[in-house]
Amino acid sequence: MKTACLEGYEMSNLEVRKAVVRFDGPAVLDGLDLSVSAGEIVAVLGPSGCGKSTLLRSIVGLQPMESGHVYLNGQDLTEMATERRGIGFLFQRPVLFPTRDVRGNLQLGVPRGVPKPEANALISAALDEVGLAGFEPRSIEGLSGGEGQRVALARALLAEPKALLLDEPFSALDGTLRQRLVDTVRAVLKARGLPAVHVTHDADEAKAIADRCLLMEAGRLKEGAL
Amino acid sequence: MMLAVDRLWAVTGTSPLEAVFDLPSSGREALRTATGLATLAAVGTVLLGTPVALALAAMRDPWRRRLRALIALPFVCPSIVAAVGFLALMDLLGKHGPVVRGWSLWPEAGPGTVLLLVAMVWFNLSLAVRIVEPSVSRADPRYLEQLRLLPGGQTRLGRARTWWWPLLGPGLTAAAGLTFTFAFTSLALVRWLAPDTLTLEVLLAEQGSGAGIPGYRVDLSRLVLGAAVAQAAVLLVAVAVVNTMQRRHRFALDAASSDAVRRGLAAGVWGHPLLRWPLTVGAALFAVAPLMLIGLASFRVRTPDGWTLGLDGWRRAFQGDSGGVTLMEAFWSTLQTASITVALALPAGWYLATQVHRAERDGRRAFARCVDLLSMVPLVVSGAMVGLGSLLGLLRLAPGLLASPWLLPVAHATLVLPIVVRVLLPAMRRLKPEFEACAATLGLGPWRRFALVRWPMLRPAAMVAAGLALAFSLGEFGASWVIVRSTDASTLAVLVDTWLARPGFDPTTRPAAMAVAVVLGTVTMTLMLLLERWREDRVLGGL
Amino acid sequence: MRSVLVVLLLVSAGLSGCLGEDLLMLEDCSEFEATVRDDDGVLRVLTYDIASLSESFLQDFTNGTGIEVELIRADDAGSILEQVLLYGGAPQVDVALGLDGSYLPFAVNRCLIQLHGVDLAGLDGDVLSEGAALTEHGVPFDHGYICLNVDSAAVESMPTSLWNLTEEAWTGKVAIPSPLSSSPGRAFFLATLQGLGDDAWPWWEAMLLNDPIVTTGWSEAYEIHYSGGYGVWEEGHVGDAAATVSYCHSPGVEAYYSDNSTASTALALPGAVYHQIEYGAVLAGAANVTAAEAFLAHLVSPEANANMPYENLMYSVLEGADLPESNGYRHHSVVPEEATAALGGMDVATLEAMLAAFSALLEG
Repeated sequence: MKTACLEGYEMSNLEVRKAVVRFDGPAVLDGLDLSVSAGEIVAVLGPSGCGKSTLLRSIVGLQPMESGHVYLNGQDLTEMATERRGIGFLFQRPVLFPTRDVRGNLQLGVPRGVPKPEANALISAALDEVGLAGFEPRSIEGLSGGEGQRVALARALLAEPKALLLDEPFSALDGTLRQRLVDTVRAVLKARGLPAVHVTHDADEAKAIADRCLLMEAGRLKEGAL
Repeated sequence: MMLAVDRLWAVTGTSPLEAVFDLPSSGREALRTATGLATLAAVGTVLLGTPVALALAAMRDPWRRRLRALIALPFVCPSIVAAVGFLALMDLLGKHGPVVRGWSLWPEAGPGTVLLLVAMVWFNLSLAVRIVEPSVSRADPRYLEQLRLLPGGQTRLGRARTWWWPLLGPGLTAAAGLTFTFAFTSLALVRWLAPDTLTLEVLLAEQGSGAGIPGYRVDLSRLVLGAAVAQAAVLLVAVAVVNTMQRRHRFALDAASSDAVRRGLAAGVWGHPLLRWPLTVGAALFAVAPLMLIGLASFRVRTPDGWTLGLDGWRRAFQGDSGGVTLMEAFWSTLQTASITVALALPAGWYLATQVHRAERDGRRAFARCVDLLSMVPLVVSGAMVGLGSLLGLLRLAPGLLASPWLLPVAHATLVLPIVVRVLLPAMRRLKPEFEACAATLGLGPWRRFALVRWPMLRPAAMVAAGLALAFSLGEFGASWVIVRSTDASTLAVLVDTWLARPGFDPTTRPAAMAVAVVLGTVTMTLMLLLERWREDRVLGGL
Repeated sequence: MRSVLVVLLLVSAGLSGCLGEDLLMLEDCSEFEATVRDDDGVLRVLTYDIASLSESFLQDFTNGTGIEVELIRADDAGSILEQVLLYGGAPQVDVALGLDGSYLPFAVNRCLIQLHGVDLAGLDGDVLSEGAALTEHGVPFDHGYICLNVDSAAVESMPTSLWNLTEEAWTGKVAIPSPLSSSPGRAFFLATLQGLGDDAWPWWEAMLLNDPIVTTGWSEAYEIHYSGGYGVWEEGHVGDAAATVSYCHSPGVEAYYSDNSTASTALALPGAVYHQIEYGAVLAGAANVTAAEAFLAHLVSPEANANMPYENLMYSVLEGADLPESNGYRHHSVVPEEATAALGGMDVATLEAMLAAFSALLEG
């Protein structure tokens, strides 16, 4: 599919239009456009420091944009606070809260107002989904990198996001582990039908996980070979 | 405090600047004495503190933890308890006591100044060790090993210059600066160990209440004005120095496990058991001795033929007698004041620290530094000055306030604010922004983020800060002394002073004072020991 | 935040103008307007650590009148005066207890004390007549004499005149509480001014050249430096002075607590004796004047006042009262025949000038 331009756009689930982000100096995102459909996984490739993370952070609201818009299911998110956007995020290293155990961390993802027994059931199901059944009582410290990212993924999914962003979450893991995790994530995403943007500098990883690849260059996205 | 200066200005008709330059000789003497004492104390503390810190870092747990806790005690020991402890120490020396007691540093300084100096070093030793030891115990020995192989590091001197000095230097200077500040504004120690010695703080506290009265003892008002300004000026300089040093203290080294460090250090000169043990245990004993002696002294009652052991002193303290404040009354009053202090200081400090941190993060460095410095201002203002400021300043505007039970906690909270900020700020800086960002992506709003993420992660630091604030308020002497004299209540610290100040014809007076000191000391010490359990290795290291 | 600071600065700058009202010594106090304190059912008494205000005393008073008493503790008589002056006619307390004859006039002169209606019959005639000028304003509740105290075990011969103390044998051995900051010191100062007459300044000059130990307060001089008192037993004792200024009955107190044995002797040397009478006064602007007067009346009632020698270590003001005999209390105490009283014939302004001059002398 082609990237969208300003007139004659197609209806898609996650959309970024003409995003401009600038730190002192040249623009990191320079009128960038992106659209991702429901159930589609898009990989964004590019060398370190080119602004891939900035792109993701702009979409989720952690980075204010100088101009441009972010749309999710047609709704304009640009002025909204991060916590209301309903977009999940996986960081490079799993951000697990050290003061809580696995269950405690997952609890943070459970939406408000869900009664305890139901929440526990949801947590168990989430852990099952990422292949960590029975991990509830474990402490954060003992988890391996891969396990940690799975927990992070489970937690992000518990929050019922309408889209998922992944910021090189596997770069710290080695070969086989990475492969397994990639498979899990892809399976889970496809099962839920969420639009997802996966940022990485590793072309193989991009090919393994994504339906479509885009290259980041000079603050914009270009189509790349699959 | 500004109100007090205004008032003194109006009463004396001289501007603060004139007052400083025209300081009468007693004021100048006070300034000289205070500066001299403080400098010597700072030097002494650093000289003693460095080897102790190094030796401590070379120790193995659990001894290290225990010794460190003991060595840290003096710092939160209320100054009046320390003063009393050292007096009790003199008693141990028997007939040599009065002689040692009488030693003075230089002729003008008056008797007891040597003892005073030792006491000041005692007090601040734990401060120095506290600041320096963490950096030593975190430094990866591999740096040192690497250095030995390089041309710059092959001599002892070279290593000292390239490694030890940059590592310890800023911390030591900060410790020296803080020691200077505390010694400069010390009231209880000077008042009781060297009562004839005049320092600026003593002058302000004791003579301050006679100042600011129009048409009465104008010379006194002028003196107080000059003294206050002089004190503020010196402290300002000292605090500025400390601040700069603190900022440079923050460079990051690869944190190594303390075990590895210990092995590294133990291999060097400091590891030698003959050096290591005496130093650390000696320091710990030095820290604990005066306090234990007070306990003893509270049971000793003088009789016409000598001494007996008895509970008379304790009984007297509990009874309070003569319409005076009883031990229990002062105890509750002190706790109340301390609790309010923490309730005020912690949120205020949190807010300030957050502002500074946010400003730093957003790149508004000038603003951050400005607020940071401002929050250090209370350090510049000594206890007596705050007390005086309230007394003189508020008296005209809102005299009813003077009797209010809120006045003292507010004064305490103001004084302890810098410490709270100093503890919280590094913790906030260390808190990775990813945590809150992640929480936001999970849909947690600002209040929930605070409650579920920020607070739990900053709680250890907050607990340390709260504990320090509590300990500070419990033992605070300077401001309390000045303010309490206008109210009905009393704090334990001031109560000790009150008992000591009574004519001691009646032999139960002295033990009563000791008894109160024991209670005060015990409460504070217990708190401190509990606090050490909260303190992670990472939390402090710049105070 | 910056704006808050600016506002603070402005406010305090503006206020400085309002802080400079002068407390003048008025000729006629009827012109003086005091700001009366709101009556909150509590009688607030400003005092220093006077021992005779025991719990039972206060309880009796409350039981009798139904009014609670709150004690505000200052350091000593000087601090009480300073506090009263600071209040400047808008007092936060009702009664000032502990100003003696050398301090009370300062407050009276500035119209800060009101006349009281307490019945003084039954009090010692000498006390009333000596303090005549002040008894309208203050209720005397105890008295004593200030003397030199000498450690008889530490010297070969007792001094027979003040001038002995300026001689070589006494170099560095005399501890004097400063007249500027200590109440006994001030009393002593007044005694020398009146007793030595024209010789007073020369004596002080000579004395100050003889390396005396000038302390801030009485307790430093007596406890730490004086070798003849209980201070010998205390921690922190130095004991380098064989003579100091204290009460003529201090040796009596020493004996009382030490089974009738003490080496401390009181000397009533001419020019060195002061009759100190301590007063309780109702401040102008007090909340409940009736309660205040009742309090003072209670203080000079036979039940309460007879305990002065025990509780407060001073003489009672009751007619015919004397120190107890037990343990040599009376025996070791000296009652001088002649003594300076009140302001020693000076007026307040002169005394203030003298103190300032002394302060200059001390510096030089």
